[in-house]
Amino acid sequence: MALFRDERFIKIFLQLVFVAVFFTGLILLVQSVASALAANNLTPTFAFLDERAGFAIAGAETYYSPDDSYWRAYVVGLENTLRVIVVGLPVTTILGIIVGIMLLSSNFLVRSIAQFVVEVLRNTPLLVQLFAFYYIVILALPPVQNSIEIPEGNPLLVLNNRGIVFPELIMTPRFALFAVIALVGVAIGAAFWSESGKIIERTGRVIPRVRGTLAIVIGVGILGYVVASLPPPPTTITVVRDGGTMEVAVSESLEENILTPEERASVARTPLTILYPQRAGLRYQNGNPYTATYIALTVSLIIYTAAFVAEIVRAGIMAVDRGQIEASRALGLSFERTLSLVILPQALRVIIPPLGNQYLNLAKNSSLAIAIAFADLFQVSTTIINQRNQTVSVFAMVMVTYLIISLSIAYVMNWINGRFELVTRDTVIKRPLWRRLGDWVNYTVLRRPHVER
Amino acid sequence: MKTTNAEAIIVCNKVNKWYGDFHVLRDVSVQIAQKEVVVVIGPSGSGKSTFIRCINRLEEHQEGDIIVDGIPLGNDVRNIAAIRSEIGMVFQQFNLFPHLTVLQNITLAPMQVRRQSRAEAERKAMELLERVRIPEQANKYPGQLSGGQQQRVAIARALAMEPKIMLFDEPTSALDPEMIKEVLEVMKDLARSGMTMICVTHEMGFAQEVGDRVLFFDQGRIVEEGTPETFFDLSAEHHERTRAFLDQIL
Ligand SMILES: Nc1ncnc2c1ncn2[C@@H]1O[C@H](COP(=O)(O)OP(=O)(O)O)[C@@H](O)[C@H]1O
Ligand SMILES: [Mg+2]
Repeated sequence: MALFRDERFIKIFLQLVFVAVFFTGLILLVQSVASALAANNLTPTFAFLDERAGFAIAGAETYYSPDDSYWRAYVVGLENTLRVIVVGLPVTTILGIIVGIMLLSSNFLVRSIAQFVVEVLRNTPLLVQLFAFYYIVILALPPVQNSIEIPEGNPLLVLNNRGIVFPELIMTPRFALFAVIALVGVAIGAAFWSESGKIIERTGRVIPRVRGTLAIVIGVGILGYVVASLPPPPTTITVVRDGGTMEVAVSESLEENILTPEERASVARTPLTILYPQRAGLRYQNGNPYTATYIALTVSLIIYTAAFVAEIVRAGIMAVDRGQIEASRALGLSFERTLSLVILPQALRVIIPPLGNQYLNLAKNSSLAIAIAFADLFQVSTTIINQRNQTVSVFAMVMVTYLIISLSIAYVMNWINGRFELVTRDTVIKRPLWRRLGDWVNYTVLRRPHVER
Repeated sequence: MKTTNAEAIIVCNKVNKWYGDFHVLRDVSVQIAQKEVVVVIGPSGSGKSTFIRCINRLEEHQEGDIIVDGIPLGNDVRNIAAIRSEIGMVFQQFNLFPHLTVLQNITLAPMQVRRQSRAEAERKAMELLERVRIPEQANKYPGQLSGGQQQRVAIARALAMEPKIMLFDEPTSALDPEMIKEVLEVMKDLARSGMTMICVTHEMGFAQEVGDRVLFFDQGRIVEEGTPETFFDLSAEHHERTRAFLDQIL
């Protein structure tokens, strides 16, 4: 059996054996669960997903009704979860970096306050913070009738115990012209960016590259906005009222406030027009509303996770060897250049892996939404389970969905991490995925020693 | 090589420095001429590193004057920047930038501080790598090099700024014996080419071959100075601290 003494063959053979054992076990497990469920007349099915959901989702009234299907309700829940994550991750990162740098501040007061806040946040349960924020801060706001409007009249911000409303920016027919001109500006800016980069590389000349590019893009954008605003607005507008059409003067109709938002946009003088929130009885129309539960969940997750990120950022910067800073100073590099060219690239190396973990935590912790009845993926799913008793299929869907979200985040973070990895004598240069899978089985599952190939 | 004030490129006059209560440099006065190679020697903790780090103001001194190439070292940021660009420094732990290739390590400061073009900076970097005898390593990362190779890259990186003065703080202390020689060879070449050098090192061979003067530090003071020949000669007359130290290392 010479084959069985060949190290390479043994490796591959063991991998195959492992895969076979693993999948056999998996299939057996699935089969036994399925037969147990069938015996209780609970065979999992997804057929019910097409049926009428029959429950309302707060905050989704404009695009979802109880007459929609379970599947539609599930998607609305998923969208809500994604809205929390997509806003949460970048804001957490920025806040975490700011606080992390404050933790390193040489100013005693700044440092102490930052330390205190971070310690409190890191050492109390997120669920408690979420409740505290929701009940103490948000529910202390006035009811809709007495909403706080800032400023009064045409508010940029409306606050009440149902949530907050921002004005809405809507595009008018003039927007197309503005967009074309602005895109031309971006193209010129991009050309300037790459050309000036080449000149700097070639000659070492000092060119204000960032400022120049910004000036071009913003300048042309403003020009486009002005040009698109030049043509005179129509003096009359045709509106449909009570089945009939009629022609009304624009100036009068605006004064009397009889136009719909779309109609107002069509006669606006500018490419963008702003729609202010307006209270109509017990609700606000126009504007972008955010429910109190959404805000409570998102803000709590951001604050809680940012405390951990701050600690990670602090540790990452501290981990950079002091000698690196000394070498930079000895070479005459300025503090800003030392920070951006020497310290940060090395600190990021240390920061990114644990930062990825915090991102995953934020994504998974968003399921605490259920505690304040925010209709996220998990909350909607439990409602579906309560109604249909399809525990296995719904939980399978929920698990797979969270798994996809988490793996996407992890994949992106791994990719970023790879770009910051240090090359040393042990670095294994770029290996294809299937190779790495094999490595993983070898080193982690079979615990074989690491072999250079 | 006795120096007079006129040709001195570094002048230290009664320099004092404290870390809290700890008096680390005591009345250090010394003048170093252009092209002079000064070897600083002394027991551990005697203030050798602190002394040379004061010369490019990685540390601040509190009393006395340090004048480098006519520029007095004080709190004036312009003077600090000017002096740093005239002085190269090589550290015991190399302190190469691990996230940059050898070539990028060497070209970073010339491009960022001296505003050289990449082409020019790279051309000069390759010349320097020839000079320290590792041109074939240009595109590797520091983590892929041996200690001796890393230290030679560090020397090339410092030379890329075309300094008038080079400071070495125990450049061979972190190296395996077989790598010490290759670094010392590069340093000797540099000394012979007329670079002004201050080297904290206990390599006697180096001191005797290219050193012009030895400064012996003890407890923050220059206790004794002299030519390498007389300094390492046990039969010559010595301060008792020097004798005790020499007894240990010889
Ligand atoms: N940042 C510092 N704070 C306090 N003491 C220091 C610091 N740096 C060095 N020292 C002390 O100063 C003395 C001289 O240090 P150093 O110049 O590094 O000595 P050498 O290089 O001769 O071994 C040592 O006793 C050391 O402990
Ligand atoms: Mg030292």
